[in-house]
Amino acid sequence: MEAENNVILFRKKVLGHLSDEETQAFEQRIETDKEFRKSYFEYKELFEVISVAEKHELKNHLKNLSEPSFKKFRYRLPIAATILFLLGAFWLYRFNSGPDGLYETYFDTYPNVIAPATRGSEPQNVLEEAYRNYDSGNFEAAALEFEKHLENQANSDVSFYHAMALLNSGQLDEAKTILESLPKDDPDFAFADETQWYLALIYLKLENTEQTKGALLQLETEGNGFKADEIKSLLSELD
Amino acid sequence: MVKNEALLQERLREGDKKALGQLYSAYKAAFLAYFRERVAVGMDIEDLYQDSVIAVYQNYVLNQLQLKKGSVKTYLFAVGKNKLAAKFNASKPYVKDDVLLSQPYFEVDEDQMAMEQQLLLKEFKQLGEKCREMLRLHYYRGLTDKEIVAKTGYKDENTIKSYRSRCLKKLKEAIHGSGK
Repeated sequence: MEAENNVILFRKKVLGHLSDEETQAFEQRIETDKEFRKSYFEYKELFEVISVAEKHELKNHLKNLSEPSFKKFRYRLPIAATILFLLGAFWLYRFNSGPDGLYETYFDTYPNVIAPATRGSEPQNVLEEAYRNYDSGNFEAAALEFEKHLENQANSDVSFYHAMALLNSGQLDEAKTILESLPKDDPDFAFADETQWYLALIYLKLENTEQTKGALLQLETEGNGFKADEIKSLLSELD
Repeated sequence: MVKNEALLQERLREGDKKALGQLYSAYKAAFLAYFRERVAVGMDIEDLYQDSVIAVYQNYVLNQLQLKKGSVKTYLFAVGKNKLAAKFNASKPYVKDDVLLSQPYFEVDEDQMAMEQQLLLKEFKQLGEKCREMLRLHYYRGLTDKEIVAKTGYKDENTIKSYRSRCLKKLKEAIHGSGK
């Protein structure tokens, strides 16, 4: 939004905090500066929307506060029954296909999108060597090389591939530890959604269904659409 | 009655949700009793009370209210009366109570929102919680990036900036995607 630089001014205007003089200057600028006018109205629209969204959220909060506890219990009872039923269904389900089967269905090796190997050129350093081995399916060697590179230089993207190499060579726990340590909100980290997806799969393999579901739901609501269809169908298979 | 009203107001200005809960339970009985006597049977007074409490809370946060007259309770009741007046006589302006006249007041009339804004609201609600919070703190609360870093524990101001612009982009894409 172009309003970025004018947020303080715009907010004051919307809330009626400008002095008479400031208001006059503001109105004048609105009349003459088209860009300013446009960004002001964009800002105002968003401000109002956020205010209404907050109002709705608070309303739910207050409704929960005012609900007598016996009522809450009444709602909880069927929920508890449903959970018990789901747990039961899950145990039955484990006898049939089991999380292992699901893991195999949904797992695929994440492609090397950082440094695809170019035919003929020789790797120049240990990191390129690691990506080369990763591409060729030599995951154990790649894992060692990624690790070596990371000893000197921490980098979340490389760590993600380190975890992928470990995962592909069957070292689940090591992969899990790395993935869990990667940032979720750092915009410079390119594989946040992927990290969450593979963590969900690892939890699945480790037979921790609740954690799997939690990770998938979080990815579904906060992610950018990565594996959206797979998330939906895996979630429905877990239910 | 609230024991330490100055402290309650301070916490309301900070947007403390616990203070909202405290406000809500402190005056509920008095408010319901007062309004039940004055309006027709069948009206949802509890709903009116909840809306009034929320309006008070939002105005404490947005306008950083420092009441010049009256107490939180008189302010809350004045907001309630205004809401009631507006409900029954939508064409006329709100009744202006003294305690309200002396303060800035902000509230969006949802019924007046254009279609585009309704759509924006819908898409905003569908953003992830962190994105919503990020946009809320900056555009709505008016906090600087520095203040947001201190409040949220994100790495630094640049992280906040780029995270926020990603969220805004996501929101815009969602609106275009839904065939505006």
